[in-house]
Amino acid sequence: MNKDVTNTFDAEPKAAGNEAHLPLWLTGLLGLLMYWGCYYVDEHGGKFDPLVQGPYKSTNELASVLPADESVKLARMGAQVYSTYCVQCHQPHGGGAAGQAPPLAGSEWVMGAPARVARIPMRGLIGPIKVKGEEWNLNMLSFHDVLNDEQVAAVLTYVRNSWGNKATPVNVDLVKKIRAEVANHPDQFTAEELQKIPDTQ
Amino acid sequence: MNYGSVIFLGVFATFVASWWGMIFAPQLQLGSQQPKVPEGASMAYPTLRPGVAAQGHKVYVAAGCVQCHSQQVRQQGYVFDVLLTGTTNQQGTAKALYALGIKDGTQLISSATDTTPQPVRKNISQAEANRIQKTLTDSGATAPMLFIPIGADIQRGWGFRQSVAQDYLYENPVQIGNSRLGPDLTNIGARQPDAQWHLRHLYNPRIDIKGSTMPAYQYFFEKRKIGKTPSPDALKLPPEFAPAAGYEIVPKPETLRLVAYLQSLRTMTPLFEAPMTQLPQVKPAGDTNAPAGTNAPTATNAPTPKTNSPSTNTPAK
Amino acid sequence: MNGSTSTSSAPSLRREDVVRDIESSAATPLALMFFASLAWLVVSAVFALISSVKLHSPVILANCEWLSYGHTRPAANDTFVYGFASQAGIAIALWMLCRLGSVRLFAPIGATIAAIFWNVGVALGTVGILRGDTTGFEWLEFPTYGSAMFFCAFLVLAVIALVTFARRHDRELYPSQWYIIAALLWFPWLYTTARLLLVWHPVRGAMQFLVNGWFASGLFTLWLGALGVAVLYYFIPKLGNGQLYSRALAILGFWTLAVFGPWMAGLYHGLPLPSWIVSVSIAATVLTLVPLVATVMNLWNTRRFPASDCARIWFTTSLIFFAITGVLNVAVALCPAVPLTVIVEAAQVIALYGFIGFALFGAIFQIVPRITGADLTCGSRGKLTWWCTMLGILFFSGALLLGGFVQGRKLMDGSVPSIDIMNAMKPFIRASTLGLLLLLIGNIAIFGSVAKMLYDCCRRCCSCCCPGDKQAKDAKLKTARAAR
Repeated sequence: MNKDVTNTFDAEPKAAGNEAHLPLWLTGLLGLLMYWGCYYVDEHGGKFDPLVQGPYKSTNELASVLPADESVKLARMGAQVYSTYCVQCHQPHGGGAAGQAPPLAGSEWVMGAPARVARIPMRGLIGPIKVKGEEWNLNMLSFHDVLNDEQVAAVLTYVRNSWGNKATPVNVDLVKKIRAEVANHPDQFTAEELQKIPDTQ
Repeated sequence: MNYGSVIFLGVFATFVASWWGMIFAPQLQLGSQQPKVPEGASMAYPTLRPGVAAQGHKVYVAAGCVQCHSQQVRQQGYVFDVLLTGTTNQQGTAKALYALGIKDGTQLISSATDTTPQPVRKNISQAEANRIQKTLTDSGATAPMLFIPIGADIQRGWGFRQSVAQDYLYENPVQIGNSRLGPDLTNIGARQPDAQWHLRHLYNPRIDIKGSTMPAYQYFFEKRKIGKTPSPDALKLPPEFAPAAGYEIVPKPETLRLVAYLQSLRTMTPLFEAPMTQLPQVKPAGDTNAPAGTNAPTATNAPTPKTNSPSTNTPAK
Repeated sequence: MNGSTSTSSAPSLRREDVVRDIESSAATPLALMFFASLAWLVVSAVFALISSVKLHSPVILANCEWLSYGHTRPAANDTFVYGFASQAGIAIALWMLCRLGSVRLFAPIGATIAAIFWNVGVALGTVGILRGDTTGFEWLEFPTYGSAMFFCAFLVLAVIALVTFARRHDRELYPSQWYIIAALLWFPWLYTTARLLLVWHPVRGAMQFLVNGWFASGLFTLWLGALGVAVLYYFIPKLGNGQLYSRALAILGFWTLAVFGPWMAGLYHGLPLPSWIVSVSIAATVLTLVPLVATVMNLWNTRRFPASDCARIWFTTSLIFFAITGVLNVAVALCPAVPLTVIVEAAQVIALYGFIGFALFGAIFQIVPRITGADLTCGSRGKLTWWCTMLGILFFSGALLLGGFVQGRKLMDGSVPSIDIMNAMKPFIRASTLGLLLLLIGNIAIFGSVAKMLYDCCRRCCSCCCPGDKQAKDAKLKTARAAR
C-alpha cells in the first residue's frame, strides 16, 4: 500500500501495551542523572544563600576575602566584643556617662601606650583617674576571665580607632605578654600604677 | 494514563512544584532585597538613577539595545597580591623578603609606606598569600593582602567586579541581556564618561570605532540648517562625517536622555557578595566617616585594558 | 471504529464518512489558521533577513527607526513563535484531538472568530514592537494591547480544545493527547505568570531575568516542544504501520518532561543571580536528557517500519533536530564559553525551524490537502520547502555554531578587545544571512503551496472548503438530474 500520505481511512495510531520495550539502562540513566543533579546543586548551590553568586562557593569564602589585614579583622571582632561587654557603661558613642564610665573617645589613656591600656580590661581599674581633664572615681571590674587574648586585642584595636581616635592596633601577642605579666597582680589597677608604665611599650 | 483528569492533575502538581521552586522561593529571597549600606560607606547601594537617566533607560529599552549589548559582568575567580606598607624590623623583614626570592629587600622596604605600598608577590592564591603575609608579619612588617577579582570581562575593562542581583534592584525592566554582539555596557559610564563620545557613537559608530557593525542611529538626530548661530548642542564631527555646509546635526531630547542613562551605568561599589580591589587600611567598622578603601577605582582611575593595576596608587607591574 | 458521531441516517457508517465528517467540522478555522500562520512565517523570515543583513552591513536602512535591528530582531522572533508556531501548532492540535477522539470540533465558528482575533493581536503586537512600545523582555515583547488580545484568543481556542477532548468518543488516550492537554495547561500558566510578574506588577531587579528565562525555557520546551512532540507521536507511526514502538517509553518520556522540564530556566553560571537558582536550572536541563532519549528512542524505533519517505521525511528530520536541540540546551547550560554567543541563536533556529518547523510543515502538508480536497499524493509539493529549510538551517546554524565557537573563545580571553571580536564574527554572520535567505524562500514556497490549495478549494466550492460538502452537492445534482 502506498504510504505517501496518511490514508484518510487509516486507523489512528495506537500505543499497544504488549511489550514495554523499556530498557533498564534508561531508568539507570535517570537515577544516575538525578544523583548527579543533587550533587551538582550541593556543590554549586552555595547552601541556598542568596548572597552566594558567581564564582564564590559560600558566604564563608566571601567573608574570608574581605579586604582587611589583621588589624581590620581585629577591629571588626572588637566591635562585636564592645557591643557585648562594654557598651553598657562606656556607651555606644564611646563618650562614657557620669557615674558609669569615663569617655573612651579622645581619651589619652586609650591612645597611649598599648601596654598601659591593655592592663585595664585585663585586671580592672579602681580609684581616682583623670580623663580628658576631668576627675573620675569609679570601679571597673576585671575582664580577666571573661575575655580571651584575642578579644582583648580586638576590643582595644576597635576602641583605639573609633570615634575619632587614631592609634596603632593592639597585637594579640602583646596581650598574651601582658596577661603573663599581670598574672600575679591582684584585681584592679590604680591610675598611679598605670602611669608607671613607660610610653614606649 | 487514559484519563484526562490524571494527566491534568499530574501536570498541575509537577508544574506547581516548579513554580514554587523557581518563582516563589527566589522571589522570597530576591524580592525582599533592600538597598544596603556597604561596609565603610555612608550611602545605600544602589541609588536611584537621576530623572533624566531614568527616562533614558526607557529610550534604551524602546530602541532594543539589549538585542546586542549585555549588562552583566562575569568573573571567573580571584587572586591576591601581598603588599608591604612598612616594617618595625628592617633586618628581619629583609631576611624574610630574601627567603621569598627578593634579593634586594632594603630598597623595597625603604619605599614601602602606607600610601605607597610595594608589591611583594602578585597573583597568588589566597592560601599562599596568607602564608606569605604571616611570614612577613612575624618579621615585624605590615603586609596587607590585596584582593583582585579576575575574569575576561574584568581584564578587558568591562567591569571591576562581577555583577550581582543587588546591582539591578531598581532596574525595571532589567536589561541583563543574552547576547554580546556588542560590548557589555554595565560600566560604560565609567569607560566613556564623555557625552560627546556617546552622541558621536550613536550618530555613526564608525567615527570612533573603525569597523564597528553597530547600526547608525541617525533618527536620534535632527539635521537642520544652521540658524543665526550654530546650536550649542550640535555635534562636532570630523570632516568626512560632517553634514553639508550650512547644516548641523543636533541630538533630539530623547537622545540626550539616552546618553545620560549610558553615562550613569557603572557598578563600582564593593559589596559583600561582590568584593572589589581596594587598598586595605586600618579602618574599623565603627568609623562611618571615611569609606573603607578610599583608593577604590574611580572613573578617572578606570583600569586600562590588558593590565591588572586596579588604581593609580598601586605600583605598575 | 464506532461511528456514532455521524449525523447521517445510513445504517452502517463507513470510516471514511466518519473521518470526513470530523475533518469537515474543523475545516474552516483550520484553513484560516494555517493560511494566517504561514503568512506570519513569511513575515518573520523577512524580519529575520533584515536583521541579519544589518549585522554585517549596518548602513542598510539605517535611517528607518521602525526597521532598526533592535526592533526587527524581536519582531522576527515573536511573529515566528506567536504568529506561526503557536497558531499552526494549536490548529494541528485541534485536528489531532478531533481525529484521535473521533469527535467533531466543538464550536468551529468560535474557533474561527478566535483565530481572527489571534491574528489581530499578533499584528498589533508586532506593530507595537516596531514602534518601540516593546516590554523589553525576550519572547514577551508584545505590548499589552497586542498580547491581551492574542492571549484571550488563545484561551478561547484552549477551551474549545479541552471541550472537544472531553467530548471524545474514543476514550483510550494516545501520547499525543497527553502532550496537548499538558501544553494547554502549561502555556497559559507560563504566559500569565510572566506577564504578571514582568509587565503588570514587576518583580524587583534580577528576579525579572529569572522569570523571563523561566518563561522562555517553558515556551520552547513545554509549549512548542510539547506540540512538536505530539505531532511526531501522531504522524510517525501513522505513516508506518500504525503502532507506536513503546507505550511505557512514552509514559516515562512524558512524566520526566513534566517533572524536570519546568525547572529549566536557561540559566548559566556568571549570571547575577544566586548560585542555587542557576545550579537548579542547570541540573534540570541535564535531567531533561532522559525524556529526550526516551522520546527519540521511541519514535526512532517506530519509524523503522517501512514507509514511503516522501511524507515521513519531514518528521524524521524533525526528530533528528529535536535530539540536537536537547544536546545544545545542555551545552548552553554547562559550558561557560557558550552563553552570550551566537551559538544561542543557532540553537534557537535549530529548535524553531529544525524541530518545530519541520514537524509543523510536515503536518500542514498532511492536513491541508485533506481539508481542501487537494491531491493527496506527495509529488513535488514541499520538496522546495524541505530543501530550502534544510539548507537554510545548515547554513545559518552551521555558520553561527562555528562563529559562536570563535566568539566564545575570544570573549573568554580578556586580552582581546571587543572590536576584534566583532570583526572575527563578520564572515560567519554573512554566511548566516545566506541561510536566512534560503529559509525565506522555503517559507514562501510552503505559503504559496498552501495558499494555492486553499484557493483551489475555495474556487471549487465557493462557500466552504469541505470535500464532503462537494460530494453532497454532486450527489444532489445527480439526484436532481435523475429526477428530471
